[in-house]
Amino acid sequence: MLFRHFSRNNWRDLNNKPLINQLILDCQKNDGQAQRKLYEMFSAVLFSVCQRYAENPDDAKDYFQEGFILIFQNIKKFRFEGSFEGWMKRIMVNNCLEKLRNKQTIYYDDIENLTIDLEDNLEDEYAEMPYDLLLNAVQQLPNQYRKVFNLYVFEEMKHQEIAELLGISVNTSKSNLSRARVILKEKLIGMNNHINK
Amino acid sequence: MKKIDKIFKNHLSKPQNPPEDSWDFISNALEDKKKKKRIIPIWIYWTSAASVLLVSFALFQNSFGLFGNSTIQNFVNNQPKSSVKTSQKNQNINDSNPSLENQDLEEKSNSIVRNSSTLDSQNRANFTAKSKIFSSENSVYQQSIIKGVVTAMNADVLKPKIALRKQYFPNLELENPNKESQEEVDFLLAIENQENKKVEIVNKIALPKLSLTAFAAPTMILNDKQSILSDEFSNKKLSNDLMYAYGAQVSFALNDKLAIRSGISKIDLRQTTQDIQLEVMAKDNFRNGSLGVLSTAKSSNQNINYNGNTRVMSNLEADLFHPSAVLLTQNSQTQADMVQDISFVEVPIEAEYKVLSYKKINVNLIAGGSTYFLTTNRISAEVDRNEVVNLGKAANLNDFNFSGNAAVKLQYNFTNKISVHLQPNVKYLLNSSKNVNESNPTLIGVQTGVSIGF
Repeated sequence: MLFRHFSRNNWRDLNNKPLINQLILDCQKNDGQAQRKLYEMFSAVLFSVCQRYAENPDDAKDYFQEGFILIFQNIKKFRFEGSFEGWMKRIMVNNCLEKLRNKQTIYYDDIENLTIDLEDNLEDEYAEMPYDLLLNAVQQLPNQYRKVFNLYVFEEMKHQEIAELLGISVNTSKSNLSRARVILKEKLIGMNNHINK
Repeated sequence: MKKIDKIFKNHLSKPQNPPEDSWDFISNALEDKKKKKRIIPIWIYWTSAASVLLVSFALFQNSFGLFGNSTIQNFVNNQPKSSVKTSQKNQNINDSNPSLENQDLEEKSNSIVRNSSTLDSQNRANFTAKSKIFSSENSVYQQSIIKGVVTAMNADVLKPKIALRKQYFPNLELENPNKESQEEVDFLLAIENQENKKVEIVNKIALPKLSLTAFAAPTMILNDKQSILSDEFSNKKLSNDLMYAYGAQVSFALNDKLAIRSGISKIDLRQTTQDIQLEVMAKDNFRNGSLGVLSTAKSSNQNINYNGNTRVMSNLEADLFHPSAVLLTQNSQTQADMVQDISFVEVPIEAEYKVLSYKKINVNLIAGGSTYFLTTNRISAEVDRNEVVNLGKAANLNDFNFSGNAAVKLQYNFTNKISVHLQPNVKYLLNSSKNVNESNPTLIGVQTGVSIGF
């Protein structure tokens, strides 16, 4: 129901900087209506982030809710410099990483030990895979692989940065990403074969 | 980026509808947090408010009693006048979830900054690397880091810029000792701008709607050429004493510039007429009639209601040195200063407009009006320093009157909730008295006070 409300108007609002700034100011004053409006505008974008980092829907919901609470609790620290959406995304990502840290199993793979197929030979038909199947594939990745994959692909961070952030070596980051790709590729091929049958 | 990366990125970047009940959970959690947060503040605020009111009330009471306990003596009788998984976790989020507390961004950044400023080179490199990771200008961490560095730099304000570069960008300087990198320039600029922006934002954000002010204001009547009691005394030497007004005000902010305020205060005024002639009449002589007629007919000023047997002689009488008084051996005349004391309870309604805001200082213009209720009306005469005669009260004062008020308020904000102010003001009284030319006296004063926001 909420997503139905998140329709054209909300998409238009996402580009309305004065409106967003005013909502931020109001949220900084703990205005409930402004919080609701801001939630309606950005919840879909941020929930998408949480779904990618979580390993199941329940965790995604938890991360999302806790992350949004953190956003509102820290909104007074927003200095109106740069993208507000970017600021919120970083809080969400950091919250997800913090949650996943408790479940952490570090895969100290070394790129040198890998014998994996890194050939980039996927057919175009894979580009039309259903969202849910792709999400499911990411969520089934081991936590560490999923984190590295998300940070590299979606947050567009470099391996050096990922290594610093997660406290792992650059080689581990690279190997985690490669292993994630291999797993995802196998799943894609498997899913595609299943669909074609 | 590989093809597989693009496939996932293109699909999984699409916004997704969150669960329907998420908002309810979030809003409830925020509401709970507000309530818990308010337990102490409300107690503090209300205690503060109660204290201000209590002190104001005590002063108010004390003032009323002050004069009555002083050394007013009756001249004639020579006696003292007495005178605030999901379902399971839900409960924890706002309570004391340690993982959430670990999210405290301020804490993290502060520890990073501490490492960077206490500083072995490894920590410095770590700090620099972390800055790069969150290089996007609005990173929560970076903001916090900058804030922390600003704090750390506050102690180094006078150090040359090159020293700051060495401290915070050791690696960059080795690579390029003569030129600042763009990252460094941005970083330093951010630091330089942070303080001012911080103050501006603090001023702009979360300003309290309601504030309570306690104040005191030395106040006096402006014109010392006209008597407020009777025109008869305007040719005498007049002096207006500096008295005190004090009270409490409640201000409601309509927006970040405009506020309305009201309150209650007590304001004392005093005008002294020097060198008047007093005539004292012996009671016994009233009894026999002959002398009473003589005194009451001419020596009484119509604007004074006497409550004793001491009169202020009219100018004419004084000039002629009332012949009858000379003859009356039981009567006596003496020279004294006449003191008129007036107290009002003032209830103002004023608008306050912020015309200037610089860092923590605001300049506001104030305009409005007040209603005054007469509470003290007394006329006495100081025969000498220790001897005061209670003559009576002014007959020409209205029980309530009004004023037009204007003021300039200089306000210094310690925080966005606590401030002090200095406020020169002018009040033009309307219809405060009758039977006198100076029926609309002007009052001037300088108000100082402390405000607490809610």
